[in-house]
Amino acid sequence: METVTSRIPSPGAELISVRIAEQAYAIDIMAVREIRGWSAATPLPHAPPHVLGMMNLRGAILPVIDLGARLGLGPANPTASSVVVVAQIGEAQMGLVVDAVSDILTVTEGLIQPPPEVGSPDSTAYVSGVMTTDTGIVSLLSLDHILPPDIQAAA
Amino acid sequence: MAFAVILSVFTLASTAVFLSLGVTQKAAQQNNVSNLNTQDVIGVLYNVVEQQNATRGFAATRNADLLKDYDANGAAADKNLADFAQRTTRPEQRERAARLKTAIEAWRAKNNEIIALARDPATEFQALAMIDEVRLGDIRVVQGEIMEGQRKLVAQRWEQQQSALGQARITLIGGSIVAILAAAAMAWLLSRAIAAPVNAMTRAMDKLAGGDNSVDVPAVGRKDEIGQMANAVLAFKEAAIQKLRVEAEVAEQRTAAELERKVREEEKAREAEQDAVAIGALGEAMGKLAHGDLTHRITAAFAPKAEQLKTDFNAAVATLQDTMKVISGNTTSMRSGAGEISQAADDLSRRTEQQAASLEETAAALDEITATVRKTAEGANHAREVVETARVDAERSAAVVNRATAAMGEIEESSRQIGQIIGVIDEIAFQTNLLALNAGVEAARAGDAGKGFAVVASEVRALAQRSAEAAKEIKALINASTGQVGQGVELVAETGKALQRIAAQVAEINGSVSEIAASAQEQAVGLQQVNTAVNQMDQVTQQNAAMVEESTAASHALANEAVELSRLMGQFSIGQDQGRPIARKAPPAPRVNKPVASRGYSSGAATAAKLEPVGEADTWEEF
Repeated sequence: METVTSRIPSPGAELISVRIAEQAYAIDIMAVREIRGWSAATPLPHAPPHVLGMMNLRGAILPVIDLGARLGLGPANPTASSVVVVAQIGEAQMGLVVDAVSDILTVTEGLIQPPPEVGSPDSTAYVSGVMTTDTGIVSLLSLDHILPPDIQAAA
Repeated sequence: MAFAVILSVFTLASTAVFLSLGVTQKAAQQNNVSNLNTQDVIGVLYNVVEQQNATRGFAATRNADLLKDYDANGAAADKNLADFAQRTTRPEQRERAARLKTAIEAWRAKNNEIIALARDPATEFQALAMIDEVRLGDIRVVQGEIMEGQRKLVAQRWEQQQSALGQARITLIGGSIVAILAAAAMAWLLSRAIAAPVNAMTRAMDKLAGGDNSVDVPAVGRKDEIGQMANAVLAFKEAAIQKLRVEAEVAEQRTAAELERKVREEEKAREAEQDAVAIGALGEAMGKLAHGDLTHRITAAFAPKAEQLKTDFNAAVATLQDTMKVISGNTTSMRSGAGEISQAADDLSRRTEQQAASLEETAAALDEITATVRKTAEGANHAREVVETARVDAERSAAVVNRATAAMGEIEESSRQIGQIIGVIDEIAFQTNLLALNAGVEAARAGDAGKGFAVVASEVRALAQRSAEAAKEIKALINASTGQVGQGVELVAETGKALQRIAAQVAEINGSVSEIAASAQEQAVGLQQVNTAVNQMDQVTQQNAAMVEESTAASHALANEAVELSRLMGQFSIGQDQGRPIARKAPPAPRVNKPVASRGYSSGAATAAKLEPVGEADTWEEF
């Protein structure tokens, strides 16, 4: 699993681009289970700030993560146009709240470049690559660190 | 009284004759009744005989017609007998009638029996045999008795009637003789009572007519008509005596008057002599006076009774002389005054003419002004109508604005509904997008098998995105439209307010224009009144001018007459200081203090001078 998620997708693979706080990010389509419209999450006591609560997906209870807050881009204020991307991270499934789903991108040769070194391991831990498109720079998110490993293990 | 005697005699005789006539009439009536009774009794016998004949005929021939005759004759006989019994008054005749009836009934019973037998052929012969048994003997006896009684009754009544007629005749003859005797006696008495006094009175009246007043009037003091005549004749006699006495007195008075007249004529002759002296002196004085000499006085000696006349004449002439002196002086003053009046009248005439001309001009100008003001009033009225129309239009515009506002509201509502629908479309596009994304995810997971599906999903997603974008654009447009509609509503509301303000201002204008129209109308009316007044003034001034003309002419005539008067005064000889004014000591103040006289003065003076007689111009020099 680690190898799959961390590596850069090969050409021909598809990515879903999402918009968070006016910034474009991409998620490997293979990690996506489903895309849903926003509905209010049930709050979870004493959860971290980026955990908005819980949601019910056909009987399974999933945590709902504010991806913007988790990425350090400030808390999202979910609206009717917000979208929940249900992602499969390891064994765990969770709902990632983004402002919108923009597009489905197809990876071409040389499209994805390594992120610039900024001396911060966290930055590279969350962004595995960077693409340039007509609309601007799109960051390819690595979802492995969205939740701490112990939680992932627990899940 | 004599007539009363004759009348009573006639009345008595007539009453006696009338009573006798009554008795005679009664007897005649009774005779009439007896006659009828006799006829009835004869009828009874006749009818019974007829019945007898009928019975016998029937028994012999058995003819039914004879039975009818039998019944008819029986009824007639019964009726005659009943009439007689009812009409007769004598008891013995009634008793006989009853016996007759019994006899007839007995006889009729037999007859009936014969008729009954004759009806049956079997007993026919028996009936014929019985015929001979039936006889009228009894009936004839009783009827004969009755007839005898009737005859006696009639004879008795004839005697009564004859005696009554004889009495009446005797009474009539006796009464007539008495009446003739009474009339003769009365005639003799009347001639004695009336004819003799009337003859005496006639003789006395003849003497009186012949002038013999000493005659004695007979029958004075009687109470009847002769006495009244005597009184009248006595009055005639006394009147004649009185007349003779009055004639004697008149003759005496005439003689006395004749003497008095002679004395008076002598006195008159003496007075006539004195009067001749006085009349001569007076005649001379009057002649001088007639020639205008007022200085002459009567000096001759007058009779004492005429002395007063002389004194009075002298005093009168002296007074006249003084008065004429004053009149002469005043005439001079009057002449100058008349000249002044004439001058002033000329000036007045000229100025009045000027005034009349000015007034005419004024009237014309006023007419023009009136016309102008009337036009103004009409214009104001028209303006008022136009403003009124404008006001109505403004009010209508307000309604239009309200409707526009309502329409805007409806547009807003429609926009809101469109927005809702767009929201639904947007939601559908969003959901479609999500579905397409999920489809894309599933296609990617399917690997190569999902390639085609991914393309479809991609297309669907593109469509969804276009839908969403279009919805977004429409939403933006709708929002813009809503905003613009809001602005429009505000603008329309402002327009409405502005229109209301305009309507209010138009109403104010309307009021003002109405006031202007009313004022103009009032002005027109007022001007009309002023015009009328000026026209009246004009008329009055024209009349004034005419009157001034007349008074000018009159004043000129007055001046002429003053000159004539002055000339006439010169004919009187009134002493040394002739023609000096006495009542007016100083000449009139010159008219330098009257500025109105300055204009056209010279012409007035010329007129005055022209009217002056020669030698009097110095009177006008001071003007």
